[in-house]
Amino acid sequence: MSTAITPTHDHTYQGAHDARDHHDDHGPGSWTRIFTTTNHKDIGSMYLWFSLFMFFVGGSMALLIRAELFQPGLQFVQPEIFNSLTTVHALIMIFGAVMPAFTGFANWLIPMQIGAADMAFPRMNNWSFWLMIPAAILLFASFFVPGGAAASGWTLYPPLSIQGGIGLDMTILAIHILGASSIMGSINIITTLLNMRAPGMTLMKMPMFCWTWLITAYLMIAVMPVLAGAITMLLTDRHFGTSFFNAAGGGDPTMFMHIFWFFGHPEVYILILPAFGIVSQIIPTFARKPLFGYASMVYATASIAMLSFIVWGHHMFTVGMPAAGQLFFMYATMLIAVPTGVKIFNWIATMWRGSLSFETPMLFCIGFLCMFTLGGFSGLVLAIVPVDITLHNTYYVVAHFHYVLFPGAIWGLMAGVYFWLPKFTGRMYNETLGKWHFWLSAISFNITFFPQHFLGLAGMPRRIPDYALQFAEWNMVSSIGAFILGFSQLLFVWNVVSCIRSGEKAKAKQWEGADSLEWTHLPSPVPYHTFEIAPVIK
Amino acid sequence: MGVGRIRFYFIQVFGQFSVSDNAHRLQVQHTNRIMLFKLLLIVPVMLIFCASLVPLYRQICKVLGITATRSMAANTQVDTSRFIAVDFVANLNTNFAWNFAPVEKHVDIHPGEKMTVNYRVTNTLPYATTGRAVPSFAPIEGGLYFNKIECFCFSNQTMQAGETRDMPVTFYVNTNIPKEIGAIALSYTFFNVTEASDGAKKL
Repeated sequence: MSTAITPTHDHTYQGAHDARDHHDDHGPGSWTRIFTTTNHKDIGSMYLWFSLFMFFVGGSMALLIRAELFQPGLQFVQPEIFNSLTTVHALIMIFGAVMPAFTGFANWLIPMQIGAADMAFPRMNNWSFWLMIPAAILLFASFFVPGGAAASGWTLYPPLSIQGGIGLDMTILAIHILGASSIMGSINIITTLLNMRAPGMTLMKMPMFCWTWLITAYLMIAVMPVLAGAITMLLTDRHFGTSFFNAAGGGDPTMFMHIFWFFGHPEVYILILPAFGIVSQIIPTFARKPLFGYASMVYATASIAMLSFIVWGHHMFTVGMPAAGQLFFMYATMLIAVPTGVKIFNWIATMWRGSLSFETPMLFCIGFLCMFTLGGFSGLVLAIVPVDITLHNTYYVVAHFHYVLFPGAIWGLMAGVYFWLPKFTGRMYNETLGKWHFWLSAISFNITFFPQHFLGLAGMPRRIPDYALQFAEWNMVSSIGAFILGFSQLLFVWNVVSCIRSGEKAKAKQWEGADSLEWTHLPSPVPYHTFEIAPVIK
Repeated sequence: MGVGRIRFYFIQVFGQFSVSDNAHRLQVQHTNRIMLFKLLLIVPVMLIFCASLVPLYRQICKVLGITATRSMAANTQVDTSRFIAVDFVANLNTNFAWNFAPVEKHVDIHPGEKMTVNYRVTNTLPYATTGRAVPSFAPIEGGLYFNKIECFCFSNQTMQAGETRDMPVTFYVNTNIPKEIGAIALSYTFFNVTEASDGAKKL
């Protein structure tokens, strides 16, 4: 967080240097600043540090899971704790690591990329961040209350989630708080993007990162209230005598699944669309070519977002839905592959005949292209109803979503970190270490999750702490990969920290192919306040 | 304040966007605030949508015939040309310590023919408990044609400690049942609806 304090004295980019910077110069580590800052760069950094921390907490839970699954039998944890681990691992990764990290990037980049001085609602921005801290504390503390943490799976299906102790209520409260934080952040982002673009920057001249966040933010405002409604109904079923999901009282557990997945499916697109945006900035930079088909990328992203509202049933093919319903959801799900494919082809076309170089951000983007596509394929397989009847709730599903989430969202984020760290901090990361991080991650990721396709096809169910003997070999392979994957992420932390403290001085336009405003108009590191006067875009 | 010292040599500065122009800042704040209210409107709209899913779900299930608790009785004649094989199944929800079994496990019945069968229920607990039976059909479509005139599943059943009772179901199978359905299984699950002393229901 000490990155953006000192005003630059680089006179080539004098425009961003303002006399007022001297007056706002707070000392590093000031507690007042940490709690009361409304500066989008400060808040962006806080989001990013928070999400890095949560990434490792969630990752440790994953390693505990994989340690237990290393061999058949129960070695390390009780089954109830194992179920809590799978539940909280997912909740932390989704709500604590991926979403806050993307929000951190949104905070950092959106004002700079559209030539605005800050976000539309800087104080609400601060609250959006600080709300997450009590939510995280609630989630951690839920492990230590009687009954332990929620153990129903992150999807919180009743009737299992109607049982369980106060840990589940704390989880519901935490999710409410995180939802409120996300909704406020999304409102901030939409208002900023629609109202505060510099003159001359039409919507169709916005960087793709801004477009994907605009669409993601709309998705969030639309579906977070639905999640809030669903978990509130869970809460009242648990404590206030309602029977929304209790068959004895005339309710239906299947209704929860419908409501939850109406939120849940757009949620997974919320988790990936900003990564699409990051990749759309980085690949043209290292191909030294403009993004291929900018307009079709915008329309494809919008189509994906709109289609995401009508496919939720593919998470519920086995509940007894009429075949007509299954067919509808199957066709709609397969349809989403089309705009997604358009985007993949456009990224490839951007690289085609480009002048390519393979720095670490580009490596992560290429890894994204390959592995996310693989994840998309396994998703397409799961979309086919008769196939899904066999594969539902098996490790094939686990393999699918880890392929789209880890190389998708996480590598998108890491590519973004490597790409923008020089801009944020004014210092370069260690390129060799970055390449080691990428290759170790790429290889170990595939060792971890590719065999899980086999496990699923062989019939291994999800969310089980112990398994039949025929699944032993691939589980052992997967666990070995998981530990290499987990520990190789420490290289990332080392790289980021040593970059911030002692990296080589970075250039204002560190990447020669970069063309968004923060690269072309601002020095590295960016000053505390930027674009106080809006640039005019030709 | 230093505006004069700032030179964007490749950017033109327009007066109306100068930082010292308070009117512009207020105008932006105003437009932002309008946007804020428009977006904040979406939140309660989606909350109301979520709440509306509850009755919507009930309606759609009724229209599709998936709902299984009650059905309208209609007068029909008996179709003696065919038999429907009806099986009776009894289940208890988790750890509900009643004995619950059908007296007649199977009947062959003409469509339109009225019949009464019984389920025998014993409360094995040393205190009174209340249960609610929820029916379910296999195949699911069978429920569309299975009309219960009287059923112990229509209301909560309170059993005293140690009490045993035969609970009746009076029903007929509708004559418009398609030829493809030759057998229906009626399955009841008894849920414990005795009010628990603490908040969370123990199912």
